[in-house]
Amino acid sequence: MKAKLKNITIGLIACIIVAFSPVGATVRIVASLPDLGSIASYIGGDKVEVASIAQANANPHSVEVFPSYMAKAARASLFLKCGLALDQWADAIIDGSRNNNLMVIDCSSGINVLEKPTGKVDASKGDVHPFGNPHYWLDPSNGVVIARNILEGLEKVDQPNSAFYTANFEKFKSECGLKILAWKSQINPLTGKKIISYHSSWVYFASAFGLTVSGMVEPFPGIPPSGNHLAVLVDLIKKEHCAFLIQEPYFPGDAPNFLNRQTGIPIVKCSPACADVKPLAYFAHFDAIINQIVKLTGGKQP
Amino acid sequence: MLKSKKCLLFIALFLFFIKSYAGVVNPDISAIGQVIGKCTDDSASGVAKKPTLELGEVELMLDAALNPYVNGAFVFSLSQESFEIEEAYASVIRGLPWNLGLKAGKYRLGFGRLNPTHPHAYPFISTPHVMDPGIAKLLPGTESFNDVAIQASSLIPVGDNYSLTISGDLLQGNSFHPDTTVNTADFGFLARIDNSFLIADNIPSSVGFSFTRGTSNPAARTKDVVVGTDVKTKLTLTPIIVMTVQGEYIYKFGDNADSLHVISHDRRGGFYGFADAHFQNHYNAGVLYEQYQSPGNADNIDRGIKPFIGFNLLEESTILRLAYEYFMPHKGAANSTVELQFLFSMGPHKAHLF
Repeated sequence: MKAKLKNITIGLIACIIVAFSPVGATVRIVASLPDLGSIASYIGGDKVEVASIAQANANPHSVEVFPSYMAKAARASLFLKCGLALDQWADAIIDGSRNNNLMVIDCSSGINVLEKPTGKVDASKGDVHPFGNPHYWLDPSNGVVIARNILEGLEKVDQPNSAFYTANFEKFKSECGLKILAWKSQINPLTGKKIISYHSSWVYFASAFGLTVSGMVEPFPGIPPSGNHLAVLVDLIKKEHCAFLIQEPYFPGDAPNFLNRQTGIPIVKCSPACADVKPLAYFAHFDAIINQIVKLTGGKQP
Repeated sequence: MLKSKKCLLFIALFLFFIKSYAGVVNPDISAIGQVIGKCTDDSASGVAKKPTLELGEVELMLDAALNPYVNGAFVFSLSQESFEIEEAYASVIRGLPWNLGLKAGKYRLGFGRLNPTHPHAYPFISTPHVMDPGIAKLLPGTESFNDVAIQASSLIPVGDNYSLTISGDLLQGNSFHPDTTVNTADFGFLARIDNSFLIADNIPSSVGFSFTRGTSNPAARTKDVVVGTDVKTKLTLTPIIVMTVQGEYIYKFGDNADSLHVISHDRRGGFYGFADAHFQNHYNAGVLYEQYQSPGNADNIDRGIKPFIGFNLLEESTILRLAYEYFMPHKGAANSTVELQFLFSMGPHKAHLF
């Protein structure tokens, strides 16, 4: 019995030592959003191991903090925050990880933030973000700013591989530039058109591709639409000949479907977050959004 | 009443003080109020078939980082007649080896999954009888299991999608007995192991085990031991329908002593389980079932079933909840209770822990 107890104790101590030991030579990165994670995978290549907290099809504004997320952050060297008050839940993960060596990178640093509220900011304006619209990764040129922030973080935590990360950053910048040209060419027939979005997620995307968001299904961020508001939108869509309505999969479809029935406006259903943290997922996300827009609005096929 | 006024004056001075020194030292402040309407045919309630409408408990919460290593929080509970410091604690969140965390102060103890959560977050409005120390008398305490304590905990990452949290609390022990004097011999103890894991990559689940022990009667030196196990999982059925399933079983090994110190055993258990579906971002609906062995006679079983629905306009800022409870006590007629809650809150909404 004593020998058995001794074996169990030794096994338990071994498990704890393994759990707290640094694993391999790769830099572990935890990202709030898969888009940040995907860019980090591109820059870090095989020298990093990336995990994302928010799921592609879930609302990134409200993530329930699960202890295994803290466990991921406990073993990481870098935490990539979206910032601008979108992922406030990340603070609970960072604090809960109790990781003294975790470097937190705010990926919004250096971003030209849109829709910065003026005057008194309170909940009478709905779930408004006090520092401006936080969905900046949906402008692909901001992808380069995010990549630069990640590069700076990687250079600090893994100095010996700095040249490798810098080379990947330059490659990302160049590939992103080429991709932007191709996407703009695809979406060109729609340039200058007005669109409707369900939530205020698509302002950066619209700005990047020459579109204008002229109305939102939500009367205020986070507030469900009323009948009156939908009636106003029906008139607006007809008057401004809005090209399409873009909606996230985690919002109910009733109101967009009503607007579609009343006005014939096509509905583009896209998540603002990319599918996973693989290196090319960030680009593939824009490919998917633009292909869907082009397909539904009769634009230029790739 | 005078005490309540003094406390309100203290809060007013405190708020004035932090306003005067606004800046990085400003804590996050949030307040939650609620109006509760109730109608019951339970003859034991004293208000059978007389609808009531009351301002429920108001909570004022202040929390902030005290320095890079320590966070602090205060939760004041106010009603028209009373004032209570429900929680006041500091947590060391980093700087200690082995992912250790420390917490000290007065707080809702982490026995099981429901007790550490404030009731305003319950989708079924009021605490299930089995978890209410004042009703089922299984957990120590009065309204909740809450005590002055020091906690040490460690988060052990085991693999990418599995973590183990082990915690131990040394309790002042007054939640176990009405005697408010502090005697080190009456200190209590609480231990918990929480296993959190992902099933199939995207179904967060947790299984926990809790154990607590304390002195139920300091004069007679009797002890109460309560053990519990709990499970919780969250299923994303579609991107707009998410179902939470949670259950908890607790068992008490208690000893009671009468005025002559004659000891009788109190061995009883009970459980609750609920499923709560959130849909269309603003609605939820679910049902809770509970049963427990009655205080005083373990052979008798009390049961209750409670369907509930809710609507939130913008997260937790304004919530309307409706619950109907059909309660079947071991003796007497079954009774029905309808509760309507309008909950309103202001201030930053913190992340919800699973």
